[in-house]
Amino acid sequence: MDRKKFFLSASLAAAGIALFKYIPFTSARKNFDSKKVEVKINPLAVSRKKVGEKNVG
Amino acid sequence: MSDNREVNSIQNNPDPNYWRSFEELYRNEKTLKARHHEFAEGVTDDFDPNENLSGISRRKFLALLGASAALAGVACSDYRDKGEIVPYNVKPEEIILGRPNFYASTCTACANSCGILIKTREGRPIKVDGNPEHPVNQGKICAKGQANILNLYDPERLQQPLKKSSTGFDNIEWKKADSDIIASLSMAGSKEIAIVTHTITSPTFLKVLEDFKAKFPTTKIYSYELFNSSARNSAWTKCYGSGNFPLIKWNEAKVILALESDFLGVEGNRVENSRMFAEGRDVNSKSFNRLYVIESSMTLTGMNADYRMRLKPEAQFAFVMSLINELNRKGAISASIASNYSLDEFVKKNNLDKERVNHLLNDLIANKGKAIIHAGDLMPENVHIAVNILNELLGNKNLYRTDSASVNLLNLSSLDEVKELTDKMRNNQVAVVIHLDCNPVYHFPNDLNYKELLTKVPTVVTLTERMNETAQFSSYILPLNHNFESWGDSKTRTGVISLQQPVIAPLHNTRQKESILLTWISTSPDTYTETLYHDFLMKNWETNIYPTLKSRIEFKQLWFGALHDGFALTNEAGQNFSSINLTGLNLTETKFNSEAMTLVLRESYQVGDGRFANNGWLQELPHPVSKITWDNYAAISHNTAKALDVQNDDLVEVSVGDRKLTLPVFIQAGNADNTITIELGYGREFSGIVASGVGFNANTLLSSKPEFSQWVYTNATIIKAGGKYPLASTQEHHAFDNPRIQDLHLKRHIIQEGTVALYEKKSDFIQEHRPKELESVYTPFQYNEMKWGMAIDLNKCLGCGDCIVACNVENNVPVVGKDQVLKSREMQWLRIDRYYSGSPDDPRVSMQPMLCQHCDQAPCENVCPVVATTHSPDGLNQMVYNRCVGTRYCSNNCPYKVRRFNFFNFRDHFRDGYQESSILTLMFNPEVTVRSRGVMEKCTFCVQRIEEARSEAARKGIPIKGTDVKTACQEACPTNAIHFGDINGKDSEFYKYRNHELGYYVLEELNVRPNVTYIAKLRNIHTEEL
Amino acid sequence: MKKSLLDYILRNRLPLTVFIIISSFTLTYFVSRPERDGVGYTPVQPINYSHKLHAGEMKIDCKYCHTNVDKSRFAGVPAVATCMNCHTVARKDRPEIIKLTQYYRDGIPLPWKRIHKVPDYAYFNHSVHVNKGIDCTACHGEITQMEKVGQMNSFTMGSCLNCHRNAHDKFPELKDQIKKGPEYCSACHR
Repeated sequence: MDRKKFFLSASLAAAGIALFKYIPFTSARKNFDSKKVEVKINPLAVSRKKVGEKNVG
Repeated sequence: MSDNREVNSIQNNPDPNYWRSFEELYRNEKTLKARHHEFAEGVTDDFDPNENLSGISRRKFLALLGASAALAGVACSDYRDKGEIVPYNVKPEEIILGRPNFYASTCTACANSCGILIKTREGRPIKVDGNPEHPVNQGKICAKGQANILNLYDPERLQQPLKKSSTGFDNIEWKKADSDIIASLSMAGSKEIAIVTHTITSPTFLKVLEDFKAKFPTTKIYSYELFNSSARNSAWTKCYGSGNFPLIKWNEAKVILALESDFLGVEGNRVENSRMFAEGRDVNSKSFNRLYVIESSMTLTGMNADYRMRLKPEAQFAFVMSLINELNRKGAISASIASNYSLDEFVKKNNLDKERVNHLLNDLIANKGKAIIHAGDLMPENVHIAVNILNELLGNKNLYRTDSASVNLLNLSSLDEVKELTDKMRNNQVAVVIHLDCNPVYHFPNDLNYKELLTKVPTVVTLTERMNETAQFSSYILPLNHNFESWGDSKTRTGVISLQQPVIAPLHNTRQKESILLTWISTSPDTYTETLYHDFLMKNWETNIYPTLKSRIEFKQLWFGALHDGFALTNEAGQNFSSINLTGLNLTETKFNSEAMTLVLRESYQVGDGRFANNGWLQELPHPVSKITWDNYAAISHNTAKALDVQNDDLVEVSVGDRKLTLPVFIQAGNADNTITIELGYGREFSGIVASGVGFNANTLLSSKPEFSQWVYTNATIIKAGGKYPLASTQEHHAFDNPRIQDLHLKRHIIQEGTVALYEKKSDFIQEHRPKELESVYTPFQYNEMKWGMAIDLNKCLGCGDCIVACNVENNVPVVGKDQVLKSREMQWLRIDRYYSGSPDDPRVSMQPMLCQHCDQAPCENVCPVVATTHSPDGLNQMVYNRCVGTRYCSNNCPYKVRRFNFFNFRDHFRDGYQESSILTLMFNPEVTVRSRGVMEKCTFCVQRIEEARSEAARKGIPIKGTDVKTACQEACPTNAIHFGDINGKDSEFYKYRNHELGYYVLEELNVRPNVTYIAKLRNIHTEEL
Repeated sequence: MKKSLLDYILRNRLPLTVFIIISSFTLTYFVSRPERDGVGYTPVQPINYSHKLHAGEMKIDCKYCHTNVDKSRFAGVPAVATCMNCHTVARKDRPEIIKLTQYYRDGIPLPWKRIHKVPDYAYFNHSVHVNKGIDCTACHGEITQMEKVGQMNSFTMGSCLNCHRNAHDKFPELKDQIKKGPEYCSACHR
């Protein structure tokens, strides 16, 4: 067996597989990430720690 | 020479007995010479020891190897590096890292305004549940409310104001948009400024609108809903003088007759209706109401009926009148208005079951004052009037709630008023149209030509959260805050006023619609601040609302208390009803032809009127009746299908007049013949990647001049259109039975049912069928301490599916998309199996929520080659995601088929990785692993909640109790059908259900020892057998 | 000739190479195990905070800064504002404190190098352990003696289970308060 040809075809195959797996994953994807979103608690909101609690009668 | 000779002599004169070749024997010159050389000629010609050798010597090679290894070692960072841990700069005081905070607010997904509690972690809302103290919904919300959280983090929400340009829409600054619009408003002159909106439920927002009208006097407000109670309202106005129809005491009704009324499914506040209805069917108190449903298509309410009959919608009026006449004839009531109707003839003409009608009559007579007849919103005015008369004559006004009445802040505009608007638009009499978070281009009937008329209006402004059909044809699109980012209040009932507060500052560059209007009222774009509406709201409460509350504490305290609770109770009188004024009531008959096709357009259980079409969880929620996801369809009875020669998935063309629609057909058991039922809310355009291409837009079949009712058309036609369209239904996926064998679910005792009469006679009839002592290969583990179990009361389970969406939200379940649902790869951990028994015309329907049974002797546990699924000492079947290699042997062994496998990384697969966008990661429940490809998952009995309860108990130093944990499905179920707790906890509610005489287990004979007890459904019919 | 070369490779070189690889791997695996688990990992922090000074000499309680440790799963690292509780006044002219104050003024959170990290699929719960009476030093070592904090425990599942299974031997003083720690999977893996 031609050793050079073996390694050439094996590496080409690996490169081909990698390429074809790469293409659908990056280029055909819509980018849903817009600019960075900040999470900020509204300071005027009132929270509670437990579920069943009432404050005002 | 002598050598030669010697050589010659030895080699050239070899022993004549030993020769290797003829050449040698015959002393061939060449051969003899060749022996002197080691190699044959020419072989070593290209061998040059100094050529063809690598330039690198062995030494150099080794040196290089060592050097690159050393370099690699140095260049890599420390493999022990674990990244960074970054705390707050200033920690907000309400946050305890790892513990959730709850905010009380109001859900504005529909006009019911249920009180909600939003659970947040580190400032991010992650789960929504009902507010337990809220008097209306009492801790429960519907599936749409649960899934609403996905709308907050939707990557396709509008993030910037947009202005129409020649190429589409361009970004525009708020200041610029505001000043442009203020200019258009101020220059409207005598031309109308039309504000189009959905139902106004907020008193403060109404005040903003009034201020707006004061500032711009030509303003006119048009409010609409695609599905509304306008027919009921006008009927009540005619009967009692006021359009405010009452709420019903469903829990006190002994007999309920639902006429084309889906009160458990889509009408009114269905969460409240379901809770109250289920209170009347209790196996512990042994009280059972009886539900009669007479409808044209199988609905959620119909599935739960004790007696069900099919009737075309246009025949309902004659039916009620016939009932009145018959009751009059029997002397139960005194009424002469229906003298020309005969029940016997009606029953014969419409093929109703005579026995059932007799039962109905007798029940109505026997339960005067304790029964209620309810007609659905789809019915025209005359049916409602007839029903009101019948209810009054039977004394059923008793069941009208007087403690609480629904409140209508602003009447919806009638179709005539909307037509006036379109006329004015046609005549260029309208300067500005403002759409407040509504979608008239999609919802209005096409013959109003609203879309085309919008082009005649100089300024069209649409305020919306996401792009939709109306926004597409607007000049300005202004993005709105989501419900969870907004301030507000809401009044839909007497006695309570709810508050809405934001749990998170706006994620994008959006504003509240009230703030936008307030900015325009002030005519200066600089007036806007983030707290503009908050201040207005607080001011309105202080001046107008607080005085009416007659509270003993000062305003600021009340305000913060009300924000904490989510509502404030008001002391308002309820409602009383006088008698019907029979004179002047013109009861006109509706002519109908039982051979013609009737088209019924209904509200979708999943996406409402279409506003949730971009919500993947709701699109994937199986329809409660047909279990179809991701589509709508034309549902017809199987007789009609035979007449048309169509099968499931065939395309048909439905037309009313000149309006046509081609869509797939679905044969629905229990539908009336010659009736076509289609759900609206699908076929959306420009509405986002999830909604696009989903379903068929049946709004095109609506007419602005309906003859019978806005949603029922009696002159429809249907023809086979040719071609097929696959509908993705989840129901067939989990069937293991041979379809030729009917009622296998009954034969295998998966569904065990009885009747109330049988239960009263012989209360342990279910226990008789259960297998006796089952032998086991293993010695069963003794659970002497805490052991978790679940009990599902099938008497209360309506099959609504709220539990499924709650589980999806709690456990980060991905949306897989229609193509995967077609391959039965939906990832919902909980499903509701729906079985039919009896005939396809008149089936009996049984629902059963199916989830991991956490079997004591689970067949899935001993086959895992990597021990990824094991059993815990407190009875849970555990799933360890990081060990799972994806053999799927466990799912193979599961007799209930409740294990779901991640065939893909569905988050990556669905819609090009829509769910992988970084904003949606904010929505994940941080206590639950987000699974990737190749991993098996299933219901864990909300183990994260169990562990949290355990840690809470450890913190307090007390042992954990079964009542400490509420699973997500249990919390969400509006009828409280699901119970969860410790099977060894003898004094708990759950214990009663675990050991109930009606309790059974599914496939118990397999000896897997499941831990989900099903309480058998009892049908309240007159016989003992089903 | 080619046939015999391949044959030689497969029958002689290959098993030999494989054996060398496996044995060297096994040897280095176990020899380097503690280091690979991170035992002894003591990274340089952005601010040279000394636990020996604060927790050791000044005897400030662990919970003064790590407030969540008895309330939630995470112990947490104190916010810059917590440091400023004292350091708006205390030693405010020292170079490290000046660095700290700069972070506070700029509103930037302090990126400490993380030392203790259990994989994401293990949901460790601090509050259960602390509330049962287990002291911080049992797992984190003698923090009060450390100028720079290092990882003292391997924090592998084996080490956790070792303590869970022998709880009474490891903590004889808590014999009445604690039972054996959980051995079932879903206590940590969910």
